[in-house]
Amino acid sequence: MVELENIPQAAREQIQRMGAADVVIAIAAASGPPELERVAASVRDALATLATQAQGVILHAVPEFESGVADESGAVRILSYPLFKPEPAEDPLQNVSAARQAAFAVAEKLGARACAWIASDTGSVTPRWIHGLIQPVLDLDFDVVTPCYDHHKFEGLINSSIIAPLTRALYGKRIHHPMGPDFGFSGRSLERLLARASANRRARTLVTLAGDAISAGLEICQSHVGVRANPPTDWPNLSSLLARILGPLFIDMEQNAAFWQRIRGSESVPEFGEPTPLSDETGAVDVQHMIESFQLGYGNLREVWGIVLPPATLFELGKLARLPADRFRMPDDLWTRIVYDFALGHHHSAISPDHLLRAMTPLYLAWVASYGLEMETASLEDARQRLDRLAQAYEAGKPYLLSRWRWPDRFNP
Amino acid sequence: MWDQVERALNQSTTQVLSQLASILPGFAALLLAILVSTAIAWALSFLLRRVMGRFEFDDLLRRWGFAALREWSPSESPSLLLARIVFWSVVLLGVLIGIAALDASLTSQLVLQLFTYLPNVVAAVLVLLLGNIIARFLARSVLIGAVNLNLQYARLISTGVKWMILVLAVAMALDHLAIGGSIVHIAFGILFGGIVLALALAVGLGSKELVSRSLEREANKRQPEVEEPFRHL
Repeated sequence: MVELENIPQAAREQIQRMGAADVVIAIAAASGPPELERVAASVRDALATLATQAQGVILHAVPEFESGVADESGAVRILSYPLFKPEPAEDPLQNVSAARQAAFAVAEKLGARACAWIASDTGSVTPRWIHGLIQPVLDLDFDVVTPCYDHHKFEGLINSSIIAPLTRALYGKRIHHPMGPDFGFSGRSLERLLARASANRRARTLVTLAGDAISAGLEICQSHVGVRANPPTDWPNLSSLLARILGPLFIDMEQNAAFWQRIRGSESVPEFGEPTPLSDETGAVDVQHMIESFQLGYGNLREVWGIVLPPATLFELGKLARLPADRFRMPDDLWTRIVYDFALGHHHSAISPDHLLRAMTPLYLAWVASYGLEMETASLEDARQRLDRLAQAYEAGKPYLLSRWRWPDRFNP
Repeated sequence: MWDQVERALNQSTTQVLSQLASILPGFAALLLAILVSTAIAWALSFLLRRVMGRFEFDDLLRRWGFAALREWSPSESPSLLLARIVFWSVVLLGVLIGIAALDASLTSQLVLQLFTYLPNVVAAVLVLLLGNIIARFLARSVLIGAVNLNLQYARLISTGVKWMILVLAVAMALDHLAIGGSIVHIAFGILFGGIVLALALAVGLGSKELVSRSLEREANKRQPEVEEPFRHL
């Protein structure tokens, strides 16, 4: 936990001068004063829409933007705070965790009833976005608000194929975007999450928050915040991206194993706001390069995959690699088992975690290719139903995960 | 004449028998030392295996990040490897003690030479072991990275990296053991240089396509891109 003594002198004086605030909004991604001014206007508008009057503090890490009062009414104040360390750590996740920890600590010092962590591109952030993250906390007494980003059927694929269905199967809550990155928190949840973070040896607990929040018994809901601007795919670095996302997710699985092993089935969580209507994308998609990547992976990485995947799965993958492009389909139970086996491989430290996670890239691309071909002409609603079926397959496959997690040597199909 | 032959034969037989009689207790002691040390070694190794089994030493090593040791251990068990090292060390000690019973001066010379050479052997074994672990690790890193970059010759690069490190490790180990002298240096220089040249040629010729593709990609950045519908985040 960040103690008051660890907070820089200038920021400490600012915090003491401010005294208290109802809402703290930490902006992680702002890069300059114009963006911050736009966010401040959005915060002001969002606070005006709340049922009760609230004072807000915007916490940011833009050094050239001074702390002070952002509007004439004084309802929004700005606090410049070095959220991120000047020298970037080797592990960017440690940076994110430390920054969140710092933001939570400042929110605690200010006695905030709600805290929003916004890591999305500030260009996407609207008053509705901020309102969605803090209103359920302030007016409806929820502890954690996860975002619901509206996106087209081929966007957010790592989340749709792995993060959301895995979280649903493990923790029994149907959360659309469990890893955010934007979240809303209540004052009391900050205290509990910070306590868990300080008790945690690996200190990554503040990266993937949903699992921790559920296992800590916090009340969770989700809000439709709008459309998130997604950067175009950086193909050469896709494996790094996968490793960066899946690593903390699998570590969370280990840390919360005692909790999720008791969960059966899933339930929906309260949802607020209206989804943004999006047009249906139709038309042919080019997945040939993804199929070729998978085939290349099958030709070269079988011995690495064989460390974590059982022979039956490798046999299925062999059949898939020989299919022509028009009939290329990865069955849901196969994909589910692959994800579970990689999580198990991570848990049992079968090989170096970095090798393990990066070796999953061709398999993930095979799923994307299969999904792309299957949903080529489907509507957005059809795609949602398709992903729901995938999530059900994850739930159906959970006994397999449980057996191999508990008895890795005895249960090896 | 016959008496003289008989006397000479008796004398030499007596000499042989007396020498044999003087050596025999030494041999018996050597045999006993080997038997006792083998028994102690077996007991120690058994005890060690039981203790390590109780503490789940193999799992501990895996959790501490020494998963590669499994591949190098008999039956994929580092605790068994350690137990065997202890067993053979105690047996070797027993043999040395046994030889001391035969001839103390011979043993002291042998032990002295052995102990002078032992650090070289240990260093060579360590270099080989580390070299192998690093070679396997890097070969796997390169293979996964190259496959993820869609390089068709991923396995070739990976194998090249593995053998380069192995050759380097073997040359270093031989240097530590002082075997081969300058021949090792020259052979290593030729071999290593050959591998690097072969790889440079292979990668250079093979990556023409890669370079042209990356240049094309750079050029395309200035033109309006065809929208890629897939977003992973």
